[in-house]
Order: sequence, then structure tokens, then C-alpha cells
Amino acid sequence: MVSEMKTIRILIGSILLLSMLPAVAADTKALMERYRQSLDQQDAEGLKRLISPDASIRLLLEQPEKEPLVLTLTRQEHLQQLRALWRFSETETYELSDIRTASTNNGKSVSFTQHERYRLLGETLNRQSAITLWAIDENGMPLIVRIEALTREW
Amino acid sequence: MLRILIPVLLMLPVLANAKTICVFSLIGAQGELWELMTDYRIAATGWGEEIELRPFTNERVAAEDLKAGLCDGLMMTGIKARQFVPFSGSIDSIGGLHNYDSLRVMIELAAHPQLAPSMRNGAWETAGILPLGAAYIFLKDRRITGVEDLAGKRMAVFDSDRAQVLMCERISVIPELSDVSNFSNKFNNNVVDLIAAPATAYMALELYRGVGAHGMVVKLPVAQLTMQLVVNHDKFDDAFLNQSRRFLADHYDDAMRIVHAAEDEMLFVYPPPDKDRSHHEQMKNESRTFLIESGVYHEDAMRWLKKARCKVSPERSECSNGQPW
Repeated sequence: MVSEMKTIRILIGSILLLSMLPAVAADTKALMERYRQSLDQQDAEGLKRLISPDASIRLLLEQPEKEPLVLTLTRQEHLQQLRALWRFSETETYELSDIRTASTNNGKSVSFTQHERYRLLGETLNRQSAITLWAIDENGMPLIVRIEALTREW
Repeated sequence: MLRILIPVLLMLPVLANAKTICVFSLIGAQGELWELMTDYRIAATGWGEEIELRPFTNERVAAEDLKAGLCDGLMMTGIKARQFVPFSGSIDSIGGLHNYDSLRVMIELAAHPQLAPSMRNGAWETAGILPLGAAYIFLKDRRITGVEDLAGKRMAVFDSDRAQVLMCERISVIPELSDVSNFSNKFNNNVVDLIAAPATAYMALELYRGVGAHGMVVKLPVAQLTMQLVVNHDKFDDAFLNQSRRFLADHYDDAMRIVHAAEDEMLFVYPPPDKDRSHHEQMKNESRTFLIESGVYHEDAMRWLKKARCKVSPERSECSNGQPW
């Protein structure tokens, strides 16, 4: 009897989890579309709407023969850097790949690889970042509350 | 004919009595500082003084003209002003003020008539202060991630600022003596690896060229820089000087709008690494104490700077340590 109850509970749990997965995938797909669109259109305001004002943004810059340099930015600092990059760069490209989604305790996360290439100030800057965005549901829309990026530049 | 001549003749004594205020600005007689000084000139008429403005793009030449009596006053950087009035010139001290709120408090204090005696040093008196923005460290290479990486690197320092030379020696950086007219070229042309500058110099001096695609600006205020109007005390009465200080203090927000806009334009500006955040206040405190003890900064001014820091941030540990600065 106990064993049967346990089986039922696992079954119900699995059904609930399976029913949630498409919602997670749909939300994160919309989030990623808006994220990609904001980058492509150099739309800092669009990106700002995706990120919570008090989001935790952590950049880990890989250093040769050293531990990565860890920098914590505010949303304002993060967006200011993007705006300045767009202003100074002559050309820029963004490629997002290897997108994976997952559910977390209070929302969802999306991990992906972002390759950026800029031509600015007579030089070329390449960046490859392993990025994870953590998002919560805010009035039916995903809102990024945490960003972590491990970045290599060359 | 007489109708034309008489008003002209009546005006001559006024023009002859006009005081010459020289204004140092890298871009000469244009831009926000010049516009503000034009407003100052108009306001000064209401305080009973006719003012003639003279632009200078070379601060060293302007300071020599002030000493020679060719200028009755000079609007110059606070670092340059220190040689004329050490009290107000110490406001730009390394680690002296930790944020813009404390700078506002200090400028307000300096504009108060009760502090007027401190604004005077012999023949010279500071007749007003404007914010120029925090000095940040500009690096050519963002692989420099800590003070330990700076050893052996070259830094352009102002030859008129002994504090910068002493600080370089303290952290084993090689100082490259420069002035405000050539330090940016040395950075942009790879003569030096780092400089300290405010955001307001970023576009004007094209410092983004020196930072390039692989450098960075460390978003940590090393000092709060100012522009200071230093005048020959004997040429102006006390009422005028008080009104002058009040006028410039009242334009703090206008000047800060320019500073904030400039800071918003900078590329590759990052806060200090997380691992160093807790050390920075300690490093700035130690640097400030070292430079006071080395005789670079005016001790009484440094007491006032501590009051300003503690007024805006009473939670700072220094506010209850009983130390004078």
C-alpha cells in the first residue's frame, strides 16, 4: 500500500513537472527573443525592461595565467557599457548558440553561449561568453533578476 | 557728435576699472565653463564690479599671468590652485572626498562667510569652487587588475602635484612628469600605461583612443577634482568675494549635470574587482594620511574634508576613531 502511494505520488509529480515544461520553454523562448532583438537593434531601453532594477550582474573576465577577474555591476552600469559599445563600434555582431533552459526554485534560468565581435577604435574585439540568466515571472512576463557571464576576450 | 562722445567718455573709467578674470579651459572661449563664467561676469556687474574675461588654453601660462598681475583672478584646476591657496587646493586631495555628496557639502562649507578667512592665503583668495568630476584611473590594458600589477608601469603625473609623484613612488609606478596640456597625448600615444583623469576630459581629450578596445577605466574615485577661481585679494572687497563664492556654489548642480553626462559616455568603465572592494577604502585612507604627513595637503582643510565625509556617511568607521583627518 505504501509502495503504491509512493508510486502515485511520483507519477503525479512527474505529470505536474511535464505540464510545466512547455510553459518554461515558451517563457524562456520569448525572453531570449526579446534579449536577442534588443542586442540586434541596439535597444538599451528594451533590454532595461527585461532586467530588474536591482538585478545582480556578475562578470567573470578570464585572465591569462590568473583566476578570472570578478566584477559586480548594477543594471545601470551594465546598460551604460552596452550603450557606449554601440556608440563607439563601427560594426558589431552577436551570435547566440547552445541555448538551454531549466526551472529553478522561483523561476527559470537560461544558459547560452554569446559570441560578440566589434570593430572599434581601429581594433577588433572578440568576446565569447558563457551566460546564464535567471528570471522570475513578473505580471506574466519574465524578468531577469540575475546575470552571470564568464567571458574570454581577444 | 557730442551725443556719441559723452556716453563713450563716461564709460571709459568703468572699462579702465574692469577687473580681468582669466579662465583656463582646454577648449578656450567656448563650452559650458565659458558660458558659466559669462553669466558670472553679468552677475558681477550687479555686485558692483565690471569683469573682463580672458581665455587661456595653457594653464601654466595663465598661472604665470596671475602671478605677474596680468590677471586679477584665474579659474583653474584645484590641483594648480593649491600653490596659491593650499586650503581650498587640498579639496582635490587623493582620498579626500569619497563621493559627490561630500564634495557638495565641502563646496557649501567653503562658500560660507565664516570660512572666508580659510579661503585666503597671503595675496590670494579663493572666490569660488565648481566640481570637475571624480578622477578615475585610465588603463591601457585591462589585464592590470590590482595595485600589485602596476609595479614598473609608467603613469603621466602633473608636475605641479607632488601628491601624484609621491603616490607613484609608494606603489612602484614610474612617474612621467606632464601637465594638463600633454598628459592625454602621452596616454593616447602609448608613452604611459595609465593616467588619472575626470570623465569630463574623456571626449575633449579623446581618452577613448588611449583606452582602445583592450583598456579600461576603473570606476573608483581617486579624488574629487574641482575648478577654483583664485583672485588677488586686494583687487576685490569681501562682500564681492562672498557673493562670488555663493554664485559658484549655487551652480554646483549645473556643473554636475555636465559631469554625469560625461561619465555616461565612457566605454569599458568597470567598478574595481570584487576581491579588492573591501581594501580600497583602507588604501585611500592610508594614502591620504601618508600625503598629509608628507606635508602635501593643508592639515586644517583635511579636518574639514573629514567632517564632510562623515556628514554624508556617518557610518564610516573613521567617524568615530578620534583622528583629526
